[in-house]
Amino acid sequence: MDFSLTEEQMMLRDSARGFLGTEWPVPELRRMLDPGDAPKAANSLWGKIADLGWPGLLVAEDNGGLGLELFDLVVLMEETGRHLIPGTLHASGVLAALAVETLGNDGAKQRYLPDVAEGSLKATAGIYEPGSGWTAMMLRPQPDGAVTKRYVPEAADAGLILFVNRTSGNDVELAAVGDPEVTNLHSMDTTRPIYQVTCDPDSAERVGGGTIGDLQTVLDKAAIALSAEMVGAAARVLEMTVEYVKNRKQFGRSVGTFQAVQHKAADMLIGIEKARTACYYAAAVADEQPEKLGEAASIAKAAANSAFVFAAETGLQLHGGIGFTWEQDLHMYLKRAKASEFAYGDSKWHLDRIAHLLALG
Amino acid sequence: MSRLQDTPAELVFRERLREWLADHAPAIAKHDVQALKTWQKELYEGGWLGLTWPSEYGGQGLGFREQVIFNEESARAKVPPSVNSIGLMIAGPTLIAVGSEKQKKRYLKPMLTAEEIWCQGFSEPNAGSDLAALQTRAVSDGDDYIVTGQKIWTSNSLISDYIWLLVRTDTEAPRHQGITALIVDMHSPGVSVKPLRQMTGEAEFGEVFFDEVRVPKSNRVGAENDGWIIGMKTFTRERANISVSLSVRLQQQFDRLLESVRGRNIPLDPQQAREVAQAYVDSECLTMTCERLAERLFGFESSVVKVAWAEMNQRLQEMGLSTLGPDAPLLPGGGFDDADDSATWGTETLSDGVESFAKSWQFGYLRSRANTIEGGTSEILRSVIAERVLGLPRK
Repeated sequence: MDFSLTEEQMMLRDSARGFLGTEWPVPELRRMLDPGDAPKAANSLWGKIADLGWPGLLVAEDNGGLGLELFDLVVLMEETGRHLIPGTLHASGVLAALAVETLGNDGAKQRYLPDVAEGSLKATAGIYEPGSGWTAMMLRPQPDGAVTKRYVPEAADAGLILFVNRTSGNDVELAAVGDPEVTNLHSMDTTRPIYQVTCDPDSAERVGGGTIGDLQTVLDKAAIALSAEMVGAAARVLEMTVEYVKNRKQFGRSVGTFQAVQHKAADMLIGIEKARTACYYAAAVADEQPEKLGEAASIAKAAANSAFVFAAETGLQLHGGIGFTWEQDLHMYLKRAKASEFAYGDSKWHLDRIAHLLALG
Repeated sequence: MSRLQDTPAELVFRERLREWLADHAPAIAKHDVQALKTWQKELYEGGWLGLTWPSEYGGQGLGFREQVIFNEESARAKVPPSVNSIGLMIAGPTLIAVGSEKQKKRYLKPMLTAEEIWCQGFSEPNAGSDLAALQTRAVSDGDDYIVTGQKIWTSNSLISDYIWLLVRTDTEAPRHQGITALIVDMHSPGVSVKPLRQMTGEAEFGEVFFDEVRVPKSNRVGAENDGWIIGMKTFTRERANISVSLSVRLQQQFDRLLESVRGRNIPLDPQQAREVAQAYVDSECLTMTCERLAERLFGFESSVVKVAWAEMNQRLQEMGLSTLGPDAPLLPGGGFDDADDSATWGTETLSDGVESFAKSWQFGYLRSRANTIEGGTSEILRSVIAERVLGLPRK
């Protein structure tokens, strides 16, 4: 496989890193810890992100987007992950955009995608239900009464909430929700609020449909994008940790000279490099060999889960007491690690899926 | 642009190689050195060795991708590993990087054809992980050095014609600055080799003794007392080449594990199935990481994949062995002795027979215990990663 970045991809990476370093420095990020201030901080960043065209990266050019590939997105998401940016880009530019691109009818694409791509419309999608876990096949057709979706990202602030509902058999519909009841589920990761959304079917409008397999494609691509963010965040934790253990002196020497510390840092790097490879591979598979997407996405998410949770926990440990404080930034990374680990399938879920694909047990 | 598929030129190369291997791949008993040499010569004459080596020294002048394809296809065809692996993976590439023109012209081609087998003399009884403590002396005497001392853990020393040797030329200088690299003819008067029997029962390596061995100064590689840097270059090449070639073998071991797991009558419980899936995730990630980092592998990054590879292979071997159930420790035929012509390569599949399949796991498990020691212990390499890749302080 060819893992090299194109010149455009390197430019995207470098400009994203420069932009976020300037526009989303740590004091801005820390505004997300204050529930009153968080929406304002997130919104001010969103306006600037929209100017760069990132929300339309995956949207087809005909629909007003940049029409790039998942591999390009993965390169960008590694950078957004490093800086722990808020969730609108993933919710609107990845999850909702993919849902409309994959499941939406022509009318929905024309109506929503140009605004999503421009960033003037913030969209999100509700997929999982109470009791469905992360398994699309566990969504239940709900002919009567209100539909409730859990783990809906950024719903409070969204101009468009989409539901993917199972209708019968392997069929799903894409519905634009009207008059939703939105409840904050208070994620420990305050940079990425998630919600429960309930909607009366009468106030929803069907805007597309497809199969459970189509839905799984959307979820797999969203999982790959999230995995890339996790790799970027893990790499940032490692940098912070290296910096800290270099400078922190105990017993008259830098604690980074102790092998017990060094070897943990080395293991953080090994996990990150493996997970980064898996993200690139999964993105290339999504772009070129869709029949292998499920396996590749599960490899990427399982690898990113291990690498990021290990990096965040170990990084915190290597910071000693200061790492456990509110003022230090590490807890934001650890909370992002745990929130991300349990989004789009934890490792157990992905390993069970791989075991199934390998015809084991 | 496709990232996943071979380019048209790569595909032609792969198909030509696959066909050639199907026609030529031999069945060779593991300890039949002569047959292994003949096979390597045949490979060379077919144009499949020294792929990345410059053509003026007998190489093919191709790129890294062709080497990866060669590794993949030879694993698929289950061809025996090279009898001159130290020459091809360690001594040759280092000589290309730091040797004189004359040395390259003299030594590289016979390395490729297996007419001259190489070993590497670095470790000593008192210089293992702390290699700079090496004590084998080379004293200047006119146009020669007189070498005296002992090397240990020297793979292939029993069948070698040349040794890639680190010696101490200056005992007064700080220890990293008094070391020199030499090429020594193993047939010189005063060189003797004693087999070192391993816990597997085989003697893949030996102890090499030097008793006032006369070595021409023209056999020195690089300048006098420049050997430490050359030694470090040797190490990164060793780790890189071994990682790249063995990472392909990880996939092969995982496929054997799947075969073994599926061949059992007892289905896996969900936790066991998850462990196998996790091993798949890790070995796939690692194999591809070797490919992704290929260009950086001649730096200290090679330690990243070496550590991960060694531990991954141990895990696969442990899992493979445990699929044998209560029979796991029972050795069919009694062992893996050199004299035993049913010695295993560690790559057998069920089609080679249930007994050799089982034996292959048992041997693989025992042999894999060396993986985290040979070529740099995992402890040393983690420190290398921390200090040289991440930039943590040494003192």
